[in-house]
Amino acid sequence: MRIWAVANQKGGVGKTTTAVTLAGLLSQQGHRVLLVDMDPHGSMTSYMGYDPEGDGSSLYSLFHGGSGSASEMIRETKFENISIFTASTALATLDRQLGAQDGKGLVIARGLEQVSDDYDYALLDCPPTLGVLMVNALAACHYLVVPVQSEFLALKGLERMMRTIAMMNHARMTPIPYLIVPTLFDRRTRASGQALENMEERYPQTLWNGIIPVDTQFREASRAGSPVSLLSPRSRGAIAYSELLRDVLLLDEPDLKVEMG
Amino acid sequence: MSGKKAPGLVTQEKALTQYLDSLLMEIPEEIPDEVSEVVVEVATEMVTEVDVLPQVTEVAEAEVSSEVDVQQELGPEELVPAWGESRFKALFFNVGDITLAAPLEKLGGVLTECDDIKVMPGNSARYLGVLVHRGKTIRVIDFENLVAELSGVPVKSSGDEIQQPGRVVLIEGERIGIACRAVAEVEEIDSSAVRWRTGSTKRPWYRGIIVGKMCALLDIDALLSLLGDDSEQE
Repeated sequence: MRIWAVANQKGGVGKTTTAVTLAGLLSQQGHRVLLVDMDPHGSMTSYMGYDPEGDGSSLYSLFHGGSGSASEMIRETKFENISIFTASTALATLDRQLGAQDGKGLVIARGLEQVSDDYDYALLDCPPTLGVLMVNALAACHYLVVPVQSEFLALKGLERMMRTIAMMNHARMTPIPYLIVPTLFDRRTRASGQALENMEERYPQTLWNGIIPVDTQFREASRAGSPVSLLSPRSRGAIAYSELLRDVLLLDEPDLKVEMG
Repeated sequence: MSGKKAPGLVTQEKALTQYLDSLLMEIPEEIPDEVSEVVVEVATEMVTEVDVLPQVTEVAEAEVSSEVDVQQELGPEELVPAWGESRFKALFFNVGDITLAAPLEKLGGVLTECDDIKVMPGNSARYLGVLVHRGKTIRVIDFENLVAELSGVPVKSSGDEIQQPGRVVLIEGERIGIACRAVAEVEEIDSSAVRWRTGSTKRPWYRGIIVGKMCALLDIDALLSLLGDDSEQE
């Protein structure tokens, strides 16, 4: 199972949309996909029709260490080949409860390992803050997608994310391969164009050479609780994400030479 | 604002580094139980499929005799590591036709169903290849090739095709594992049951012989240091 995290230390940049849409496209290709909602806000959980305030099992159970295997905590969705590890609001208490306890950054990696034969891809939707959950996601992932809203303030969030990646690379002793993906690109505004130019200048090696445009179909898809690729496969947004998926699949080769020099 | 540092607070960078290091620290699971479970399962197979277990290869036998000869002639003091001073648990595993033992406390677990080891182009033949485990790259040692290489014997090249070993014994806290055909058992060994190495040797990985089993006991620390020197040279 390949594990992709979708992360940025800024909210509202399209993390959940990116994870859900990629999951939809992968499932359409016949892959078995596990969505993992690591954001206590539970946007992805709600998107997939579950209540983050509800009583059912959630990712919290994995940290809590109660009885039951990881596979028992995973829920089905209405989409074939897409399952979900739901979030719950209680996840927001993890940082307070766990602090910096030794080894607690590897809970998700170990949990996913238990179900690695059951899925082809796991997509982790990260919270926008650096804490136990974000560290877990970055420790577990093989590949990282960093959506960045095409506007000036979002670039500040990107800088924080780059610093976090650098520190994680040092801590886990293996670089995390990643791709910066400009999202919510509005060709009608100068701000979008300027932000994209800025990203091209500062991150030429790791910036995706496409853009995810603003598209009202994303909102419709979210309302319908469906990946946009399934609801409106010919929409601009769905087409842009299918191009992104094509490139991520090409880029996510296990880089075995990284450590070996 | 006074500009004074708050007492007890470290710098931002240090705080983040400590935080990440703690969260990402590998906490060893209860190795004896964990390994034992795997081992019991495999040992059952081993008993039926390997009548003459444990076996020792020509290389190991040569080492036994030469080391024993030296010891008998000179009677030098045995070099007993701290972990071997009293009783210790050892894992027995098979590399090709060799049975080796390693102190359990130096091991990080056993990976079963290892059929995805990949070739590392340009690397020494002492490495079978690499595998990705829990998102980390593990270098897998081809022990037979390592021994052959250290002995000056031509090593066989695996080429682009790797014969998947089936199991990998992980070294605690390191991204290194030893490819093995089977894992036999965990046994508690008394220090007196080991003929410990004496003096220096050309084979630093070799710590001694478990006499009752005529099986080479690995010195994991020395093995790591040997590989460390090797990687520095590369």
